[in-house]
Amino acid sequence: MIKLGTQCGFWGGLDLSEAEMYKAMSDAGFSSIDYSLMHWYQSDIWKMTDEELKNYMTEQKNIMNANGIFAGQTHSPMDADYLDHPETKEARWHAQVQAIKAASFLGSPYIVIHPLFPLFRIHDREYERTKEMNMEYYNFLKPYLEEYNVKGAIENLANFDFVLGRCCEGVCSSAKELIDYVDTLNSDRFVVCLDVGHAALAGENPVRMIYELGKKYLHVTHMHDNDYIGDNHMMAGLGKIDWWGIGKALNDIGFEGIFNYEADDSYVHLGEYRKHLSLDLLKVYAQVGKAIVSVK
Amino acid sequence: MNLAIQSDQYLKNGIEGGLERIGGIGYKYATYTVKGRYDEPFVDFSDDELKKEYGPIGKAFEEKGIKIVYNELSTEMYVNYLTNTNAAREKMVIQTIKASSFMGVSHLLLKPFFIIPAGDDPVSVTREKLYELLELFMPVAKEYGVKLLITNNTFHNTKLFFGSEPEDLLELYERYGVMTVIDPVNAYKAKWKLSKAMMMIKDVIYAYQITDVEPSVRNPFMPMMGSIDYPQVIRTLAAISEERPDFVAVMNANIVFKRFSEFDSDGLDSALDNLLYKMGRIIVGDR
Repeated sequence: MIKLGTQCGFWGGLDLSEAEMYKAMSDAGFSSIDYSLMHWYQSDIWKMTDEELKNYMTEQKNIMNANGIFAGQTHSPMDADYLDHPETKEARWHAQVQAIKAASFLGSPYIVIHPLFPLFRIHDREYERTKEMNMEYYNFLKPYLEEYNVKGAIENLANFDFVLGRCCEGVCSSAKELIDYVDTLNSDRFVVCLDVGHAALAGENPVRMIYELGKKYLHVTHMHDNDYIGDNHMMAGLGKIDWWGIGKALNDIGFEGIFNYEADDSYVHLGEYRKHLSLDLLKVYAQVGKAIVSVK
Repeated sequence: MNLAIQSDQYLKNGIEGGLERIGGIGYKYATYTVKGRYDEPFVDFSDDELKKEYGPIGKAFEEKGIKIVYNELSTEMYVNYLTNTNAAREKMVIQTIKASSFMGVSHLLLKPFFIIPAGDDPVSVTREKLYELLELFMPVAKEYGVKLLITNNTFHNTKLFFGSEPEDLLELYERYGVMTVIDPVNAYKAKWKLSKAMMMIKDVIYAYQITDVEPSVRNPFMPMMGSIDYPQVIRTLAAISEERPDFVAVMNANIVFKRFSEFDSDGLDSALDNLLYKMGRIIVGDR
């Protein structure tokens, strides 16, 4: 059965403890949190020793589990790209390693790791050069994924064409490229994270991508809606994505993972009324998600 | 300030259950859409037949303690507008005025008609046509004790339409006593500075429709989650209702439930009910 997960953006502005936050999630109908390690490069957690990190993440895991939630997936720091600052490469890549450890201590089976994303990888350009960079990157991370027993999920991204003035294909935008990366890495440590919003922006059909990836490659999801123009990260149903098609495709391929919302922008739009409305909106998110994963 | 709900989506499976649900959520005010189609006998009902059909509906609302702040015309009157005539649509409006009276409802909201802006001066063309229609409807409305309301309009996404500007709405009130129900989506399309415009015409605003707009997706949008500056709107509505405590804000539930109609989940309706009610209470200044 497909489970429901979400980031925790609804928590912003609420006077809730972590335990209360997790309880609110499980009461709403979620069982999994997408635990974000995205901005770790900036934080003190990156500087922890392994023991400190293990203690910290274990405490987080215990709070989650006691309130009906588990960490179904995590997201590594987004800033692994070093091209503009080559002197930071080692530090940035080691932040990814720290994130892998954190995911493992949290009990999360997956960590979403963005591919390196040079801007020259646009439309069909610079495929091989970008792939070579990413193979070096992911092969650097592979031993840590093996040691800490976490799978790295490669996420599809989109680029922006400043001449055309719209989003377009970038690194790993297509199912074909994602499958090529996973097959070339030739390790059970790598799977795919399908971001349906990014797929739409890159000009792909997210429903078709689900069928192309199939259960073999598609393990992790990022679910959010948009208008096919901006990376809106809205709740499902507020944009133009075909959610009935998404639900049917997931069930058709036998997906048994998590329908995971990466859609916090709808909470942000509530502005100063967030603290009054977030928990009610969270319940709407859950019910919409439940409806989508029920489509057969 | 009072909070009302568009009742249509709640009543589609039956009036009794729908009114239970509306009352159970906490609403004491609602709007109601008078349904009818050209191929149904509604257009040719006599007054007695209208009274028999619609009187009990008004009574049902009353018995549940829910006051209808205005009726709306059925949008079905715009289906197949190319094959149905203006005469038939005009008759529909007149029947709806009468039905409202028999329901005990004091106000009827007129929707924009298919008055096509044309020629060198489309605003004048549409003004003249709208005056013509109002002069047809006003005597009937007066006879049956119903007051007519109008929303601010646009023609698709342009202002080539009389009724697009705040000044037009003041003119309609001065000439015909027709008050305005603010549609913020049309206001957005007509590029109003919404709060400033509302303060300018505050004495002729009867109600505010709670909805929102996101320009690049389907319009309208979930309230308080789009492009309209709701903190400013809330301050403006509070200022208006200080002088007019009977002022009403109407939650546009139709748009929301239609938006989510493809999702089939037992708990979705009640989750949306709770969210919309809380949004409404914030907007009318009651947190």
